[in-house]
Amino acid sequence: MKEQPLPSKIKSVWRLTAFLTTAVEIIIILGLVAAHQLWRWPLWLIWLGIILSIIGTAIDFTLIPYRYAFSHYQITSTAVYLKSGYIFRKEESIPITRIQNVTLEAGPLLQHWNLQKVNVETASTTHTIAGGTPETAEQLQNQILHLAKEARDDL
Amino acid sequence: MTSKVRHLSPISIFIFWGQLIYNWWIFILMGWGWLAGSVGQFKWLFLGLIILLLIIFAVIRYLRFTFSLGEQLITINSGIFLKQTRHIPYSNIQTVQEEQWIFLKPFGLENITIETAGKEEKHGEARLLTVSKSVAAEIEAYRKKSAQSQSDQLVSKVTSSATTVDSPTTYTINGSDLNRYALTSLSFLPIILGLLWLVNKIQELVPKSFLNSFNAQLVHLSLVIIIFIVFLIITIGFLISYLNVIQKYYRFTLTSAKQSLTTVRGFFQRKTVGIRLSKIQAIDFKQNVIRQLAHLSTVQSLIASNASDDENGHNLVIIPVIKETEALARSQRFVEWLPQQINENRFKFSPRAWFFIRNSVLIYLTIVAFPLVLAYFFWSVAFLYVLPFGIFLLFVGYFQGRYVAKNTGFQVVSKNLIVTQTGYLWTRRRSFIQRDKIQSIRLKQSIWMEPKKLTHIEFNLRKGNDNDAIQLRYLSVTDAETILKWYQPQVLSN
Repeated sequence: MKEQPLPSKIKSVWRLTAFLTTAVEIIIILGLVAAHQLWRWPLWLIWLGIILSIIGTAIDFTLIPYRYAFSHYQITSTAVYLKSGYIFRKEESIPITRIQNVTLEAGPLLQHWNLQKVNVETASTTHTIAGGTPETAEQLQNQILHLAKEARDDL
Repeated sequence: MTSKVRHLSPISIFIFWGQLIYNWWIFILMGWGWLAGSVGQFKWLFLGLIILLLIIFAVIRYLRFTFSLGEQLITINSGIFLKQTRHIPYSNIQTVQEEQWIFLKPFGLENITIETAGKEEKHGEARLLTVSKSVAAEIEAYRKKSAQSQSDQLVSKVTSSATTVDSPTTYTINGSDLNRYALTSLSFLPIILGLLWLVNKIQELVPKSFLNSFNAQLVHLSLVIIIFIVFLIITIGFLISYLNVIQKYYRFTLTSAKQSLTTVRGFFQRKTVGIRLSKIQAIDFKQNVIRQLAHLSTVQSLIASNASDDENGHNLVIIPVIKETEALARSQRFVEWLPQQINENRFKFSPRAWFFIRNSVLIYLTIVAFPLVLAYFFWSVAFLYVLPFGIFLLFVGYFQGRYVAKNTGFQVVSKNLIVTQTGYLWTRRRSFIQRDKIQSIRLKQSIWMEPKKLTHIEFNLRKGNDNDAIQLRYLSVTDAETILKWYQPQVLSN
């Protein structure tokens, strides 16, 4: 398998997540307004909330294409490679023979787009593919099983 | 075949009793305080009753605690109200630790801690208090039997080498080595800090008036007295640390036999820890600055289990102190896969020391800046004292950064072995790591490091039940690529 980006549907998941975060922030701001009316909480708290949530939302939304563009993964017959980040880059390599578990996770949002968070666990670390199609997950699991049957990486 | 159900030694009642008092002392104290305040005459009665009650509890606990060593598993029954039964199959046992407090020695008794794998399990260990010394040997015999019957492929692969080590290899520390180890330990630093804190607390407790008159005298005699007190504190701190190290590693012995290493050490508490060689994740050679100057080295193993020296986390000391030049060859006799020697000139170091220095100075600057600003605005007298101290700390930061930079490097020794070297807090750590024990490798690079062709590289190893990330910072990208190429498994032929 070649190095490939995450499934493009993950962008929709991130967008919706960012949207929901904003919604929660708006509720908090409304709560602050109510607190201002009822118990005379200071007005600047509301302004602070508004400014922070505007900045947060703007960052969240503008970063989505970048986050997407710089997240890659690759599953070869012997290893899993993960790349992420632009300003702070991270490259991880995990030989298949070190993988102890592959756990799949999907909250309601990921489920809706038929995606799964793939956690690749070694004896000491956990590496995450933020969104994988069921095929990816299956491929990974098959490969691990396959390798377990074969002679292990000769060491 | 049924196995004999056994009790602990009756001496365990005292230990159970002590544990109960330890667990309940706050409530006992509260009850005491309450009674002394209201109905004073009952307080002694209360104390007597409580002590009696706890003794009864301890006796019941002793009576209810039984264990038996079966063919396949150990069964432990315990619990005063809630009866608990634990079954531990021999094959699940990771390590068996023996601790013999000095007062148990005349009775030939010791405490045994049996540690099982289970990562999730909170209580991954079972303790048998005050059992006869023969119990550990019995468990070990059963364990070997069950290991033989299972004989996984991994073990059979290495048996050829195991047969060559028929006679056990042993290393016993000699007095002068132990002395040097204790003398070059840096563990007196935290003790001195603790003592200083204590002196500070005592000053707060001493009545103000006394302190004032004392202070007045202090002004006259100040320098002499202060120097004397500081000298005293340093001496006491050093002495505590020295004696502690001596008693801890008293008659340290390392034995290797049949795929396992056993260390025995300690004066007040004689501690025996056995680990299987296959559990060793890496071998570390550690030197603090003093030991570096004295050309002494400490050999430790990083292990995937909880058996360890309490002080060092999940490191088990293999050789407390040894001449730098002999360290590797001597360790090789116990851990086969270590090389006899390595070529010091083949180490590759970080090309840019400046970044380490900058980071270190920045860290010290943030520590220094806050009190400086505070002193400048609110307490200008103190500012004059804080300033030189701050500048001194920046120098410390500079040298620490330089030290770390000088010691960050690596060397690929063979297809299956890499040596990494890192520096931290005036200690150099050189780790010998087998390729198959590296769980994963992580490269980290910020956008500013890219044009300079630098990258951090992180080796993830298992330590205890956690991760130990050995990070080599600011390596050149080409060096990192060499490591990655070395690490990445070759594509299987089929």
